[in-house]
Amino acid sequence: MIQQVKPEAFFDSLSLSHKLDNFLDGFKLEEVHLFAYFSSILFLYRGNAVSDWQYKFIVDENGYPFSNEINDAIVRHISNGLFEKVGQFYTISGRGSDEFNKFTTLPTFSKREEYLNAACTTSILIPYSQTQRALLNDSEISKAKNLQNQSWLDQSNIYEKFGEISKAVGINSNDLIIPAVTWINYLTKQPNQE
Amino acid sequence: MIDNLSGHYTIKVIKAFGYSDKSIKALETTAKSLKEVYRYFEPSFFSGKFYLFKSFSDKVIFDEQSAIHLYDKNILINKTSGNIFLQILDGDKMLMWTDQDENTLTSSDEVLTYYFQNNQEFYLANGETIDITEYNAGSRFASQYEDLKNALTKFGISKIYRSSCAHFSKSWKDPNRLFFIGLGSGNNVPEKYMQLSLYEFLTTYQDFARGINMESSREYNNSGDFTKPKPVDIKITWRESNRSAMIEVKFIGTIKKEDGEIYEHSDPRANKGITQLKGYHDAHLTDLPSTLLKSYLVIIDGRRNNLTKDMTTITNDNGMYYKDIDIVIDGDKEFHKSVLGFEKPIRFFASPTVI
Repeated sequence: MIQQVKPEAFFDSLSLSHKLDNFLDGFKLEEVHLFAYFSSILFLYRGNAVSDWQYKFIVDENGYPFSNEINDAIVRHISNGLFEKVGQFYTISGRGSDEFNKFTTLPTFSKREEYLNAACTTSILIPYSQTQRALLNDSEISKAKNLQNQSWLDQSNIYEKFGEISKAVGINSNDLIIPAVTWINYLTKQPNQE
Repeated sequence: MIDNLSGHYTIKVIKAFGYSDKSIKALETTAKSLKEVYRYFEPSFFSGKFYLFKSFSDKVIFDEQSAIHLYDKNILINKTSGNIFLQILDGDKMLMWTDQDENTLTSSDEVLTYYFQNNQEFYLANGETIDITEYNAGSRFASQYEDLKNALTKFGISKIYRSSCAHFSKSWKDPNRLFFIGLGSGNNVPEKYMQLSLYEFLTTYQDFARGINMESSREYNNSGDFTKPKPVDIKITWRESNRSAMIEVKFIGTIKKEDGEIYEHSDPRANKGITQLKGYHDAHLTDLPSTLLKSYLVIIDGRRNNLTKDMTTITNDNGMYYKDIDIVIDGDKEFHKSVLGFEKPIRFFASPTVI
């Protein structure tokens, strides 16, 4: 019997694709991994345990974060017609949007929406090319790229730095969007770490 | 570093409202609404004032009786002047007015307002005016045409100036790039390579191809029905926003035919290209009047000074003579000054190898 896809990865990939398609008019599969990774950092920033995110990341040969669980979910979405390929990009199909709308109401998943939404909203508030470049310039990703290893990305250092930056610019709100935007701006101003 | 981060417009906006959660929500809502509204409305075509605002309490700011409930945003497509006041309500509902007192918005401490005028955009936040202008034209929330312009500029620099593209390099007759290749009257061989070069570049340049369909007249050139009029070289359609672009490619410079004779093409050929593109532009708008359209003439400039048919090398002075000399557009063809969406021709100089 075929194993079920991890529920959190199933939902996250659907939700991220729905948002990226809406905000950017199409997405690449590696961008789903990238924004899942960014969402998980926001999850840690909020004080949650990394294990509660339910899946982890390595860095793939192209320098993008990569999660096996997200990959399994994406493969399933493609074969079920929830994602459609248009040229070099993917879009979410009508059935994919229906699936997302159905699952987003479930309490287990709706809790994750805050992190997924904040991560993707940065791509509207900041030019997307800048957001993408900044996220790939994250110190943990750069370290893994330089070492060329496939160990799990250690997100604990990032989230501490994230907290320091947010505090320093005076963010005292519970909302995640401004910390997310500030983090992107911080990464943008870092020298290229490769 | 911290000062730098605090200077970002998002921080300035929420700071103006005392870091309230409602102001953050309003910022998110307005940004997402702008992304949506600008699918139907091209700000660089608009000469009036455009306000989009969100009240923190969701209170309707102006007289609701006189508002238009905006559910079909297509009514914005041909809006190029006047004023627009658009209030975003919870549940993504939108109310629109054309003439209201803008001071009501600027003085309010519980309304976040986005404001666009003359290709500049701002957030008006509790008495503060925060400049968020990112591009020379249009809006940061609708970058389609700016992305295309940036891609074209990059094409000129990275592929044409030093003939670094394998397709484009085939348009030269000689290794030092003095003459374009000529294969007889009516056979626009150089332009076919230039067109292919541009098409492939746009297909692969960064993320430019995201969300677009691109058609080229290569099919027509290769196996088309020549009894029908030639279509524009490249046509781009954005799938998720009501926008199109047309690109016509022309070259100027000297072609050398197989018999060794040379023919020089200069400003008149570029002007002919303008007329041709104007024909495509008008026909497109007649066929699809509710589409936003920009048209671009790309001129590949391979002109050399003091060139004779027997030359095989060229000095720097003669080879680079036209590097910074723009084409002269006939007075009756300056459509970029009068026709909405008809862009000023873009010239890319293609340099020779000089001695």
